[in-house]
Amino acid sequence: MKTRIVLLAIAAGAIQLAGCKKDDLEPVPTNVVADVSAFDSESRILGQVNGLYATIKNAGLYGGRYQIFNDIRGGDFQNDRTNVVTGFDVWNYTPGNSSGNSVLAVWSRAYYAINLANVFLAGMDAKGAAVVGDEKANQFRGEARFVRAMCYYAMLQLYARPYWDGSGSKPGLPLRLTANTGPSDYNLARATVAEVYTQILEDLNFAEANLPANYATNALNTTRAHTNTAIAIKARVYLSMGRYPDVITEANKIVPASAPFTASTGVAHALQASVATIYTNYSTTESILSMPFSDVETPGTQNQLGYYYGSSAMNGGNGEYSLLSTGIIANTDWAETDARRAFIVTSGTKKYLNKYPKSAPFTDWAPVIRYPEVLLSLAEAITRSSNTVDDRAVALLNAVRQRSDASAGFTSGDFASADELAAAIMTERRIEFLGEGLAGADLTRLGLPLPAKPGITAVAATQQEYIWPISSTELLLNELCVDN
Amino acid sequence: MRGLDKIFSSLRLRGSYGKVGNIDGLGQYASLSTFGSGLYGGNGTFVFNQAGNPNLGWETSAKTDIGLNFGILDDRISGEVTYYKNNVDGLILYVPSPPSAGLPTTIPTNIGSMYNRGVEIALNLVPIQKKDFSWNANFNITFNKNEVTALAPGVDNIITATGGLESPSITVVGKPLGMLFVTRTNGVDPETGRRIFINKNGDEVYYQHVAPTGRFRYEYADGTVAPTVSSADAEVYKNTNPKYYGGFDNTFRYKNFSLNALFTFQGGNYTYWGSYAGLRDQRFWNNSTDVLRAWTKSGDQTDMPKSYFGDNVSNGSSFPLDINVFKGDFIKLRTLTLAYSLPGTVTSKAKINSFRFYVTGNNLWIGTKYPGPDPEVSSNGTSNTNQGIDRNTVGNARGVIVGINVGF
Repeated sequence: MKTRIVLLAIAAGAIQLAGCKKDDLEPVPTNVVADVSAFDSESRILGQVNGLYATIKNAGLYGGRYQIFNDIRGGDFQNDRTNVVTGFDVWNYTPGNSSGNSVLAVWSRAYYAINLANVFLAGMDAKGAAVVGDEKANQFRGEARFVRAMCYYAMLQLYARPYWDGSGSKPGLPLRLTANTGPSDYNLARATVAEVYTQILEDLNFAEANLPANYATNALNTTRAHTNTAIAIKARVYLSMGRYPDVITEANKIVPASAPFTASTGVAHALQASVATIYTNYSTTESILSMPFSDVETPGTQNQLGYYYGSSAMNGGNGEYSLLSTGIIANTDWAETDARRAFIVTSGTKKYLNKYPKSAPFTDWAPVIRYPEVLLSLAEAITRSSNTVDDRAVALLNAVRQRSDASAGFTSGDFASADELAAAIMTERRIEFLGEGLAGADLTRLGLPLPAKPGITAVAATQQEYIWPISSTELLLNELCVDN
Repeated sequence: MRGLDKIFSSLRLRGSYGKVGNIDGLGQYASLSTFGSGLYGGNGTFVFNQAGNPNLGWETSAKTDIGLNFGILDDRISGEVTYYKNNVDGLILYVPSPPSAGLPTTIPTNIGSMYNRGVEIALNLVPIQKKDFSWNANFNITFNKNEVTALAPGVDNIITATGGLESPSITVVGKPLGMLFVTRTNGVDPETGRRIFINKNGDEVYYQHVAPTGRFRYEYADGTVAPTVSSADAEVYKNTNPKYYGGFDNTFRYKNFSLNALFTFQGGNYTYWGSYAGLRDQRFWNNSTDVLRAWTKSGDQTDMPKSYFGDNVSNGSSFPLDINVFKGDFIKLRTLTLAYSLPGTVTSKAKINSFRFYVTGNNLWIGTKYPGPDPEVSSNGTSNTNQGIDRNTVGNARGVIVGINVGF
């Protein structure tokens, strides 16, 4: 009898112990992946790398709105809908701290991507590198740091004074470099513009050193960063800082001394024979980086380039922005024979840009950087740093212009001064990249006024409205962050 | 106790105390940081999409209830008076972080403590009880006080958004949950027709949507440039919790007719009418006729600033302003029902059990000074840290129902 009781007691104790298994107190869900297992396999790690790009592709940023906001801060588009959801306040230089679709959205989207990169980098250090090996780990780290640099760069163009103002000494952005995953004290002051640029360049240098020279397919070469992508973006960053000799150094890595201009290492970037090609065949060697869309990856409502710039008669777009009749399309040096004029389509009484012709859900890829930008940045840097009319600069300018209009070449004799050549290069940028998101940043990096538009007065570089205010949500929740 | 039965036909004292846990409103795996999937260029993605809190615990409520039930005059008058106190510890709220922290979601946190306490009074009256005519009445009223008594160390306040659109709500220690959080204004400058904001330093800032050459959009009174005013200049403004609320239900019966009227009321709270900001936005859409009294010339005394096409700032569309906060007190005729039942002599001949014909009206009348359609709405559903917000919300519907009940 006694033994039985003892046995029963032991059995009961065993059941109790089984009921209190520690694992059952901390269950791991089977239908979602938690952070503890996010770096368990290469496919999960690669999924996170893709997720970083997908995040900057999303709504607020490089999938459309970053380009649109920069286009409409320039003088080539007319707002026809007076809708702040689609940038009316950005267009007329009046966005407020709480402008939801611009000031708040770009800020939060960019920082979300930055934190994803930081979480990824921390996870790679803790576990991922051991899973995929050092070489691949560094390649992935390079992509994460590339994405982080792209986000900081985008925000600097909108929320901070340009680099020339006090050599980067003005307030930049809160510089977030650590992984944030849970409750914490997140107050952080803005670093200076120069400090943020320094970080961007560090990230891009790391990316250049560790990214692969190319990927297996053209589509991957256009949608993920490789060595030449990092170099091309570095040229853009140095140009924004006015560091022209560095622009030349970077651009020379992927631009030969003389025509034909084709990158000799890595992905063989070159201009396509016809400019029309790149808006239908998205992954040629001309498109260094683009954001991919398809019927199962759509840009989402009111983010699509084709919806903003196309009229209803063209592609079922909303005609948010027509081409301003006094803008670049009125330029008489832009010949009617130029192939790029074919992108200007008349619909009713207005002219529209037809670079993104697909109809709803408007899945044309969003261009982020194309090879001709590197050529023109190089030409401009040579011209501004040497202050001469340099033959190579003219040749680079001609490469872009003559691709679209063989009869329209320049000679050095056409320019009386370096300033004239620089002005011609700037005009060429407005023509070539119309609707591709360079206009706003091209004005601010040179201290040019934001131009007057119908009913809108110009904004001088000294004015408050020259840059966006800081996100009001940030100001409310981050006590150390100050407004512009 | 002998004398009491001369006054009371029934009398009961009751009390209870209990402690319960609560995880209402928590999503699945709220304690975990999780990843979601998607596509990029046709390849699978894997993205950190929920920030968890591994230290998340129960929210506990300690509830105390002391009540007195009584009946007088053969229960012709009966009622109860209840004092209650509900102490909540480890209050779970979703704490927002600065967007620059880059977190995908707000984090559920056992953030503090608060209490609800008050008195409930309910009275059931039968003022008239005759053969052909009776009048029954129920009246109840609750006086409630809610106060947040502590937030976690390092957390000064919790700001809550409405639909990602704006953040007009704030929770701070020493006040009820979900106070209105708006930027203060001081009218319209009669000289220039500009909206006058009061910034966080208490300075008056004059705003014009587009500044003429040499002037500024945001200026001090002396014409010098001022920092922009935004929701970052907002202050903790008004309470959105009703101080009292209740109902008054009356049923009159005369022969086979009955009339029922239910009134509900509440008071002591304020409501942010965000829709009004939209109605007075100076972009081209369905706008309010208030623009007819807009400032046009020096000396005009008005609450509407000079009209400027596209101005979404001066009247609160861009960020919440005190001018759109109104008292939310109201009394409503919630339902009114008139019914007629066929006498039993008739129904029995027709071989049916009962036959009742009725007309019911819902929300037929409201007495309130609230200028919007209905103060009894919330853009944020039942969420308690951002109540009292009426932003593009449809009022409770008014309806009339005509019906017949037949019982077999």
